[in-house]
Amino acid sequence: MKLIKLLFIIITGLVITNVTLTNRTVDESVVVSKLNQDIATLQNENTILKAQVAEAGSLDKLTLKLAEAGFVETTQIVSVNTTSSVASR
Amino acid sequence: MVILRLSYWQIVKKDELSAQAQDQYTSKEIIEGSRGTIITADNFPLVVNQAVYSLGAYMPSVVDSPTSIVEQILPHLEFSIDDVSIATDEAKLKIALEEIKANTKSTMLERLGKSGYSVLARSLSVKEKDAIEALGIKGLTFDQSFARHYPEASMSAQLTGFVGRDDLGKSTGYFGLEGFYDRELSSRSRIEKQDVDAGGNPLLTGDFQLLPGREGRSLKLHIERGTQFVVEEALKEGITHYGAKSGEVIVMDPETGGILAMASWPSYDPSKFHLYDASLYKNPAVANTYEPGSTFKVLIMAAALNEGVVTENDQCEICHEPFQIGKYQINTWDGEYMANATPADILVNSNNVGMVWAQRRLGGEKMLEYIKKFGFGQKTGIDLQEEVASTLRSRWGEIDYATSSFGQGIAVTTIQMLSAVGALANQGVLMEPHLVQSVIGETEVPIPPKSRGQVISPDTAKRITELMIQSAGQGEAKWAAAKGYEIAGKTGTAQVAVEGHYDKDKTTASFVGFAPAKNPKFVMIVKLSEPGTSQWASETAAPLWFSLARKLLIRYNIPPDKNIN
Repeated sequence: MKLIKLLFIIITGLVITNVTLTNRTVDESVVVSKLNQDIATLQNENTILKAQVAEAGSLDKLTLKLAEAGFVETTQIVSVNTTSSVASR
Repeated sequence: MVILRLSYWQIVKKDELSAQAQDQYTSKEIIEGSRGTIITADNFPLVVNQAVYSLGAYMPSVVDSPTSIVEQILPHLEFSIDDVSIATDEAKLKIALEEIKANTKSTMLERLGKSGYSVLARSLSVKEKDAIEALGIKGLTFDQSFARHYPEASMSAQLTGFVGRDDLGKSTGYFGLEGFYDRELSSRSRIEKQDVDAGGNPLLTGDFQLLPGREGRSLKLHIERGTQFVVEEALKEGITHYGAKSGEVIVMDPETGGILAMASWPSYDPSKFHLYDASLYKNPAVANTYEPGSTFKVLIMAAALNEGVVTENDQCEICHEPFQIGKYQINTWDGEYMANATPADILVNSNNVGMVWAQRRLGGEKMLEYIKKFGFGQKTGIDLQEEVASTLRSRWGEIDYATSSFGQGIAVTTIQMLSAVGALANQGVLMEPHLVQSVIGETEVPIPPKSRGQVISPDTAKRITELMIQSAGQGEAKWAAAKGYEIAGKTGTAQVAVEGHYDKDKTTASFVGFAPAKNPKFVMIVKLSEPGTSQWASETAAPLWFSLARKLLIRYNIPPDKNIN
């Protein structure tokens, strides 16, 4: 009889533990689902941003902006004399 | 009766009901991977993935009237006209745009009149999608997908190729790098099967099956963005300036075979490839053949020097007059004949008779052996899908050997010609030209330079370089030479064969060479088809080559030497 009681208590305890843990994991699954969505959104935004940065920094666009800003192409080479001191008094 | 009914559901219908239940609590998600990108050697993107959206309407959720929805959406849609003749004419453009808007409006109204779900517009940009989404119209949905985007929007279309759909509707790369590296660039979808609750949240204690996917691998090129841009701009200007029908420029590192820049014109827009003639899809530098003309002379002269049948001090005994081979007469291009011409004179004056002299000393079979060793008659191995191997004739007569020595009667591709001259710049070693330097997946896998064999000795390479320096500095194109730099090069003007005979007015003008001659940073070929201002390469392709070389040398921080005129 004692053994039956003991088994009943153990089984009841295990069932309660199982239900509690399952309940917790279900709560966690909501968090996991949210995290998965966040990851997908961030990856998506990264891809979109990469394309936008590439577009904005393309040489076609930069050349136009440089020309508008007044920069001109030069074929002259300017050499800097590195032997002289830059901090002479 | 109850027992029988329960037995029916529990035993007979067990599998069917189990499957239906499984469908309800199992979610199957297919996550498409993204196609790999293509980046330049300096890590700038040449091809990326861009988000595009399909605008849909789920009618049971729609509240506003169809007319109201369309009136709100239309001002936020961007319309463009691809036909240049219309796009550049303001009046025509206005009419065409109004027409497109009216058509779009009526299509949308028709679709909004249906029940269920209808797609209202496709390929919307992020900007258009954001603007429409901000209107807060109930019932509208946006489906995202990714399309290839080419931020440098350039002449490199024939380099990159494009992505279309195969017979099964699957994204597939065609031509160029997209075609050659389609398997590397393609992604594999990730499939997740998971038990979910009524709210669609995953059940962590439930069943989970995963078929792992793979993101597309990216390609890192030898191409340098700045060099490519400079080359594209120069080619565009050159074609306009010299009135050429088409043109190509390739710049290669002779030591590794890495392609630093590659441009061709006319080209197409890879994001709207369907609007262009399919003949433009192939990269002409690897898919079309031409007769190289006098640029070929340096290769035959190098072979003759390497075999020791000709030395720098030898004099041509047949150069004082036209040379007769059977019923054919070999003339010089300018009708001038120089007795006792040396190999240097022959290259400086681009002397056809002199080349026949060198070829006859070399012998026909030996010349053919060298032509093959320089890589002609086979593919170079460049990583572009549409490369062809120019075929060499199967039967060679005396006249064929003679004309081939000065680059007529033999067909080559531009990349073959560049690759062969690259061997002269690389101590006689022929390298396989390559665009991709590494494939980037989870790790970066480099593609090492590949030698195709020693064609001539390093000593012969030095000797032919000296002759090419004289040819570039004292030849017909000397007026255009880049002052302060030692450049090895050779012009080539080949008549174009039309319906079995050579057209007097149509030529292919080219210049191939390397700089600085003694320690080459690059080997470059410029080819112009049917230039209009002059038929001669010395007045078209050569000045374009030198002007580009000047820019590239400065770009590579190689200043001019005051001691070199």
